[in-house]
Amino acid sequence: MGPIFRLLISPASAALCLFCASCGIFSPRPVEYPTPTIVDDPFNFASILANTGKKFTKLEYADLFADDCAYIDVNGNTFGKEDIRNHLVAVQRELTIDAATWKKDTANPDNLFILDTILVNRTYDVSAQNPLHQTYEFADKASFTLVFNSTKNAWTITEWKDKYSGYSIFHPWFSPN
Amino acid sequence: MRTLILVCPAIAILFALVSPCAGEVPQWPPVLGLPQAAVAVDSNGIRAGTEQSLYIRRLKSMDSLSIMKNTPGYGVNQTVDYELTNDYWSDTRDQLLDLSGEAVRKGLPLGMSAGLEWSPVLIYNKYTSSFGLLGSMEAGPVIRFHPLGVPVMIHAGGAARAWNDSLGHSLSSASYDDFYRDKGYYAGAELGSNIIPFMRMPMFLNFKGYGRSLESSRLIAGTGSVLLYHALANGDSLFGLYSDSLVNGNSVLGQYGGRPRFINDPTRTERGYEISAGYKGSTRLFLNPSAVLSYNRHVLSYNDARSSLPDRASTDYAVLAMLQTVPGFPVTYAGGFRIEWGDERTLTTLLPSAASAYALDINLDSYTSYKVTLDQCASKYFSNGIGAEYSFDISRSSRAYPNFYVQSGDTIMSNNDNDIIVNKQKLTVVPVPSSWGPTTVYYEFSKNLSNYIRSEKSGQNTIDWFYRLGGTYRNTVFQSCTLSEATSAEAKVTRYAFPVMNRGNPPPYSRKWTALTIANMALTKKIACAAEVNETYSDNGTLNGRDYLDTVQLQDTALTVSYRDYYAIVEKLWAHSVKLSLSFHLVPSLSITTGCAYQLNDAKSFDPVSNDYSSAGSAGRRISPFGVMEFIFKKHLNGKASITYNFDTKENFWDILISLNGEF
Repeated sequence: MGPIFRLLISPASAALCLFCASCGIFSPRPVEYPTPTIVDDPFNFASILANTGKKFTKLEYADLFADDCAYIDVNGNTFGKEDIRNHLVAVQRELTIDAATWKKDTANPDNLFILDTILVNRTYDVSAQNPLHQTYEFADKASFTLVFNSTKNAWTITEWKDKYSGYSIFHPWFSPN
Repeated sequence: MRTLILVCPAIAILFALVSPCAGEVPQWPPVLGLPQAAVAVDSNGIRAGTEQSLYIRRLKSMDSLSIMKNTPGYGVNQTVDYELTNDYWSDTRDQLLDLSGEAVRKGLPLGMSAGLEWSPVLIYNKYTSSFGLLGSMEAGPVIRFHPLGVPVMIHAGGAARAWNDSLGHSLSSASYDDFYRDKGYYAGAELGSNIIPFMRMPMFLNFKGYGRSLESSRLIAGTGSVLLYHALANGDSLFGLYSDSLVNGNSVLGQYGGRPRFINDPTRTERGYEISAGYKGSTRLFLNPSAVLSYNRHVLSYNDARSSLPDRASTDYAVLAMLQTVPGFPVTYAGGFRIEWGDERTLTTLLPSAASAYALDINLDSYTSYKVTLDQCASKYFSNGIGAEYSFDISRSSRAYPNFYVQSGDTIMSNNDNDIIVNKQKLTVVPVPSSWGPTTVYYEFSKNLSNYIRSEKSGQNTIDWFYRLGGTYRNTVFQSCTLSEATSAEAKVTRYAFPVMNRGNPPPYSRKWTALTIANMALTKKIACAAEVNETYSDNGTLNGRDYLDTVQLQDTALTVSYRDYYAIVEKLWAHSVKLSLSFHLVPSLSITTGCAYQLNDAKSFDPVSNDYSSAGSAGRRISPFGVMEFIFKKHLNGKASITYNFDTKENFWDILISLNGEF
């Protein structure tokens, strides 16, 4: 037991435990008392889960897209969460989204895995216009892999495959300029 | 035993008891690890491989041929890679043909070798309503030499491209004039190696550079790394690493999944570098200490009006200290303490002026981050196998978004400041001697706190509790029959920090129980059979507490007086599966397995209209007869063929894989 005793009283271990226990580094910061907020959803992402028995409870892009979310275009180019978020914010700045609909892709049924993963296939139709009233129309198919984030207690998008050939309005390389 | 493992690899997964505390604590970073000696590769011969797979409506075909002829006087290498992906779901088809190769004359003065290289690539992408075609050719001289034992390669030549990523409906309707065309030159160099010490010094140095200039595009790319190590006289070791990478320009031909792909990315400059230092201490008393410091910087700038993406820069620092007992010490301990901090900022100086309002918003996404992690694990196992292991992990991850701007007198800033605290604990006990059969019982508990700091989002703050109790057991029932069992039950409970902000939206709750039983029996030396039964029950729903009654329900006095909290199950699933298989090991290099799997998913979801459960979308059954054949022929030829036909409630489908690899 001699070596075990030395381990237990090892000054380094003791200092580390004392440090971690005493300085509150594992304690959260004070939280402000909540106020109600309304989340804008111009691309109507909420309807992706329509008729599946599930719903997005957090539609802000920071929560809607998982941290490891990937947008994959028809050529296999892959973009991360920040690229998707920044692009959607930019598009909303430059264009007015007139309508966005997501419907079940009747040719490709959803794969519903109960509990925490869903693969859904959708057709989309998005119309938008710029300040000069030039209109943009995008319609094609997309498939989403959705995972329930247990930490956030919300459904999140982890993979978004866009079948649009070229740059759809969702493509981070799309620019209306 | 080998036979039994072949019959059912799941056993190996179930009972893969690794060394104590492995995987529970931080590990030495691989980038600071000394490379393993390279495996000698036969540089003469022909290698051919093919892999064909069909899964539901997706056909993938990969074929490769590599011809290598190397003598002291010359070397010729020619590869043929062909890939076809046919997705009948989305009506798309991708084809790739790569005919890269080189021919060099060896034994030239100063140990040089010189020759030609070529890399013609043809890519064809058929989309739903159009198609794209790209032809690319790079060819030119290549020189290799080894001054002072350091490998050096220099290559340069001409480059030409023709492409169009949006042609009409058929290839036959396209003409030569439909294609964009480009030509120019390329040059590149490589110095050093990641696996051979540089000039016999305790250092690994490797640099690769490549540049290509075409009429319409330009690309410069380079990567480099230097890994230094030094062993001190007292047995300690020091490590230092500097690695850097730079990409500037754009290309219509890029890499995806390690293969050339047809892309058309915006012009960008991307640079990342890392500086790390590591210390591995020799054994002191009975402990091995180690520590790592690292600094990472990554900057990505787009210089292209086609892109709406902002430039970004991130900086990360990390300090990691680890301590573990030496092998053979009576009690195994391994622990680590890690602190990481840094920031990620958007750089909007290059954004178009018209988008200045956008720039203000984008700036709000800049954040500083901080994460601290403490992982501890201790275990004690006696010589008869009885013992226990306990691990304790806690981490706090925080982000702060400090940027703001003022609009109409209001301060606009991000409301995503957050703290996530995760605490996991696991106790594993081996209660009986190994001679009774490998047996474990474990209990896992974790508590996760997810907090938004600002009032706009703090209503979503949650606390989760997760519990799991399980065990595994394996025993040899009689000489040739082994029985394995693994079972676990788990539950996850969530509570909102502010129930009043979530009235009518009660928090989620879920439970799961699973049991897997596997039986294997060797009937003869060449024939074995296996049975696998898996039962799973799971449900999820909401924990409808009084605190979550909505405003309408609160006005119902009778309801509020008599109300009792309850678990409202929204979905529930009973999943049953049985798999029976028979394996024949006719000769040591040939095995055939055949069998059938049956799955039944009894899934139900709550229908609020009928106030009852009805069959859910994932309900159904699947019967899957299958056959697998594997062979190895004189180490030159190996192959595998597996075929499964799935009779599924929703859609019957094939799952076929055929692979064949030869080396001559």
